[in-house]
Amino acid sequence: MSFEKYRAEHKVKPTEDSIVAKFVFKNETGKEVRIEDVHTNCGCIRADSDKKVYGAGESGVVEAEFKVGSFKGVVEKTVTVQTNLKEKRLQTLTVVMDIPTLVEIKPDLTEWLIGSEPEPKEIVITMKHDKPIRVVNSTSSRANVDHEIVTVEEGKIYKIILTPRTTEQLMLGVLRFETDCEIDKYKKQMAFFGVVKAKRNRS
Amino acid sequence: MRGALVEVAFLVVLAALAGTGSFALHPERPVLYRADEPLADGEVTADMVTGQWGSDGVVWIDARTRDKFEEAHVEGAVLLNEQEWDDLLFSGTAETIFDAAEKPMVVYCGSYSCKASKQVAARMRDEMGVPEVYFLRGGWGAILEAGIETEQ
Repeated sequence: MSFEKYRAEHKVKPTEDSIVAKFVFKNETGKEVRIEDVHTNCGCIRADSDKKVYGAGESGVVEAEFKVGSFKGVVEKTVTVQTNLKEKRLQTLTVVMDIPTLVEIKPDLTEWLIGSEPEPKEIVITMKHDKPIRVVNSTSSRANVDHEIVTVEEGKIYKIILTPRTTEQLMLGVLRFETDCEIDKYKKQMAFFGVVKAKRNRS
Repeated sequence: MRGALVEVAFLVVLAALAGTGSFALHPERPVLYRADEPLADGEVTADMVTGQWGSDGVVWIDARTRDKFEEAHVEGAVLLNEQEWDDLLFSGTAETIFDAAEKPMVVYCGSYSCKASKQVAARMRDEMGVPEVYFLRGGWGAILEAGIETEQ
């Protein structure tokens, strides 16, 4: 039993909430093949075959639906098809999705070392959309971290300046800001900040 | 006496054969080699968690889907999955996590093969700055096997 492809790549549109990947196969074993199970490595992707039993020479399809949700960037998920065959009993299909980032936030984590100078630091927000996206408001989860929105280029580039009032205590917080993007999932954005013992290498 | 011993030996051999045959043929038999795989960086077992900190001494983070979380989850666990990442953190989960950040955090997902716990742990560390976060080998199955308290 062999699939036409084992890897499906999909460039997700900003407006898409889910995508469907289809994997067509043909039973070339010369005998009946039974699909015992189709399972995925994530609850975000559901998959199943169009039926359970395929006669010799018959074609079928495994369809996988992936919910985009809050996923960003390149996301890879697998579907495992289990049959009654002794050889190739388990076959793995891979769905690769490239999910666009319309609101780029750099850095996504701003840190001050404990005891260091509580200097202002900038977060740069760049809109990667063909239409303008404006930052409309922002709130900090920590009252002792001030923030200010600066428009660099209306609808395109913004800066948020964060200034802690003190770096004497360890602290983690989140800066939430909202945009006027017409696509709901890009309206709410976040950047994190903290006063830390030591900056770590990111994985 | 000898006859009884022979019968016992026969029954033991029969049971072993039945068990081996069942294992060989069962479609969902566990893969034995996994027990020997070294822990990845940041990975912990349920025994390590209960032995080092106690189940109450960590913050449990559930990286599964909401419907699985609502069926059952570790007592006091916080739901944080990649599908709802933005919505959950935007609506207050970030504060829940940050307020407990002095405790180690352990992320779990559905099973041994699920990668969500490792990915959520990495995002908590890299994007949120959470200082001490691990992911659980074996996921939900390991939690049930270890007898860790759960709730609905």
